[in-house]
Amino acid sequence: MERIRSFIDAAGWPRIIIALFLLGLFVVAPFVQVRLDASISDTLVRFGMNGVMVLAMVPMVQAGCGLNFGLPLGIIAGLLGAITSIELELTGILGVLVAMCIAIPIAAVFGWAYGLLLNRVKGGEMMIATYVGFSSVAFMCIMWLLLPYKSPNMVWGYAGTGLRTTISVDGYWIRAISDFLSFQQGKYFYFPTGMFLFLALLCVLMWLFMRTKTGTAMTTVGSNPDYARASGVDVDRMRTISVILSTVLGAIGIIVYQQSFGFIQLYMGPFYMAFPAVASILIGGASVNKATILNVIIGTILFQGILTMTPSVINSIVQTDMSEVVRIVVSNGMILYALTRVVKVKSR
Amino acid sequence: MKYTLREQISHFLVQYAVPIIFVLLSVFAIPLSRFSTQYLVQEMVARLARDSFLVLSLLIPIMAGMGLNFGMVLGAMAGEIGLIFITDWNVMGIQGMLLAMIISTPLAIFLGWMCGVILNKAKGREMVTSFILGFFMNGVYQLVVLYGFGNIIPIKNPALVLSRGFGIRNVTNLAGIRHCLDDLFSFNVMGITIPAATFLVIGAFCLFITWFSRTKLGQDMRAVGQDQEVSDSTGIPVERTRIISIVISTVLACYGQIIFLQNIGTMNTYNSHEQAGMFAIASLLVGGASVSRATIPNVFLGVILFHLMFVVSPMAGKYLIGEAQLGEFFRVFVSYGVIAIALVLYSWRRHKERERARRSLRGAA
Amino acid sequence: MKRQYVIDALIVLALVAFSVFLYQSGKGYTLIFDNRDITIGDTSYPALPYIRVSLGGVSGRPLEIMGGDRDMMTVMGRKHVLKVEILSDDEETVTATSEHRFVIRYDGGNLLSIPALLSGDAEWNRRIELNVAPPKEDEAPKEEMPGTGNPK
Repeated sequence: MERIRSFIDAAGWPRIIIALFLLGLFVVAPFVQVRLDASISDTLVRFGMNGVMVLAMVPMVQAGCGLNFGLPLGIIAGLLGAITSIELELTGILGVLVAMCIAIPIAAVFGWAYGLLLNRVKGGEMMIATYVGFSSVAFMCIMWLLLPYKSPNMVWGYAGTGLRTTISVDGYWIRAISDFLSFQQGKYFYFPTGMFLFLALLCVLMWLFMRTKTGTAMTTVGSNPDYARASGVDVDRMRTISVILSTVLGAIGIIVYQQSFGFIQLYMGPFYMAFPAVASILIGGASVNKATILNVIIGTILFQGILTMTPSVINSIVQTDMSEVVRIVVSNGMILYALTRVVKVKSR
Repeated sequence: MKYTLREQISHFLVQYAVPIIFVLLSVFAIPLSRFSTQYLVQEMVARLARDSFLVLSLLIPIMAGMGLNFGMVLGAMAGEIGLIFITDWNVMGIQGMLLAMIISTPLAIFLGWMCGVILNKAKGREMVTSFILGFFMNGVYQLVVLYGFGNIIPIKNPALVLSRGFGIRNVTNLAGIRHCLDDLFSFNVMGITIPAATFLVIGAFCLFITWFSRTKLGQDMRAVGQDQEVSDSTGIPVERTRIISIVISTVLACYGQIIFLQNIGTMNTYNSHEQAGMFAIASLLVGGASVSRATIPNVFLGVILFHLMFVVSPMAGKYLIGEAQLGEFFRVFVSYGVIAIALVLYSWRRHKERERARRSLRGAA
Repeated sequence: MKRQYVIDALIVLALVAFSVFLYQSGKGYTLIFDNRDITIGDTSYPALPYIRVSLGGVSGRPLEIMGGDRDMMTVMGRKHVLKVEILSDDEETVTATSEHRFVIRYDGGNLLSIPALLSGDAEWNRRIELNVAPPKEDEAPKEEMPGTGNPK
């Protein structure tokens, strides 16, 4: 009994409710003619698609910069890389790699500037990050109209200029990462091995990085800034590195997402993309100032599981699509819970 | 301490950077848009009547040091639920509007109280919390209005309900109360219609705020806004004062949304409140307010400047580059950008003050 | 402490009473003024050639209705004074005027037969189903792009 209570305390009620809810959905699924294998496959694919963007939360949380609501900045860098790769008519794994190679330096520059900004506004990072994300998306809306891309697959046909709202990567590098060593089991079960290997690689790299000198210094900055300063760590530099890292991972994350999803979404597409990522890592057990790779994996599976299962299962039970409402309530409820849990503001 | 003229000017420029940029933008864009003065003045008068109340509702939490109340969308939702009911009962005119206000008041008080309690648990990060709370409650609102109305809560007017038998339609027609306050008495000055009744309500509200800030409660709020620990030691119930400020703001936002929608005449059942929050906050900041200081003149200046830019920019974009879409995106960018800049300036200043405090502390030790 | 409760209760009561008043006086009704031949029970009433009807206190133009025609008006509140003027054939001069106090009987649509009213039939106010065709457009809410809308 004691053990159960301490487990509940450690995990927190919302997480347990969400986990039980997901478990319930999986149990009910076969009774309402929802195929389990298809559902699990969908969940896995979406886990792989979103994993990297959730992983992008880790460095900033660890360095005490809070949840990165400014993820759209990294996503924009990724979008620039992706459309440039298509403009160059590159296909297959090469296309993806080139997209990443272009996106990473852009993301690093964005992240550096964004990090400098966040260092001047300690204590108010999350709100500012949100609006930096929003306004950069809005600014890029103007740029997508004006940038001189020419590929007929990407621009509006009748005008010849201005990028389209959604661009298909079919014929270029659709599932270029996912299909590496992937396999199909029966008609409904598809396992994107490549995407998992890639995510695992990034997770391992992140894990290793967190154990380097820089990584531990970064964690110290987040957990105890005064101690870090006293022991001679350059706090602002560590924070900037974490922001750059997060932005770069955001850029890579969106490319992974696109190659599996099959489309590049421009304009208002990236607008709300930070919120599912933030919600995922919180569901996985992270708090506003502590996050681990395990949090990323558990959280993404739980959150994406709910997103996959609610439309199919709830729809067959009540004959109405409630998935949108469930998504809004679960993700924002989780963020709200995390924000109200931390009593003291750390960065003083 | 004495300031030189130069320092005063630079201080003025920093404090009013955002309004100055907006004035310059407008000066540049108005001639490009080719709108007539008559049209623009009429638009601005109409928009002042429509939006001022919503923006004014933000002032009290700023006074209490809780920043921009992104939770005002909760009030807007309460107002919309009241409007759905009176539309269903077909209560029209000014009676309908008053009835909607009475119905939604308890709901707004409850939501405001809830918001206040939650914000007390997230001191120091009120803004981001109220922002997320707005999103969260939007989900709850959808749950209630899209699945509860016509199901658990009876709605008999078939024009309101989706064809599947429950849930309110995307667009609710408020023809019954359209312009009921604006047309209560209005007059014409040189071909420009002035909705005098609406302006009277707004004027009364301004007086209320001025009066309120002089009461004991208002003074307490200022004190809490200055320093919570000091206020607590002087016996001010800090948490309670903060909750009251949010409740007042939520209720006023609810009335503001009803006044706004009686002017528009149709309601986007699932979007109106979201936009209300963002545009009210952007307007206030454009008027030269900051996260910690906002006055009534800021509100009116802000509404005029912000909406002037909004009216003018698509046409200006069209004539300048031949693409109206560009102007549309530009104004979206500006409204988010303004909020971002204001937040950055505020946090920056606070960060600097803290650094200075820490340095002086270290120097003393 | 107790006094405070009493005052609170009184305020709430006053608000409830005020709401009831607002509801009563603000509720909208659709009236259809009918000037057709009509049979109620065993009696038939012939349509009048040309009439003009107006409601006291309700702003808006009076309705002029030819024989065999009907016209519609939306009004607020239940109690009204209906003024009926019978016009001569040249459609200019008023030949007879009568005023009737009445209380609208039904929610929704009310069919008011003027010939029956003038003949003093109590059943002149009848219920009518208004076939409001619900607007055909949207179903569930669309995901609207954030921030792209116009602030009105």
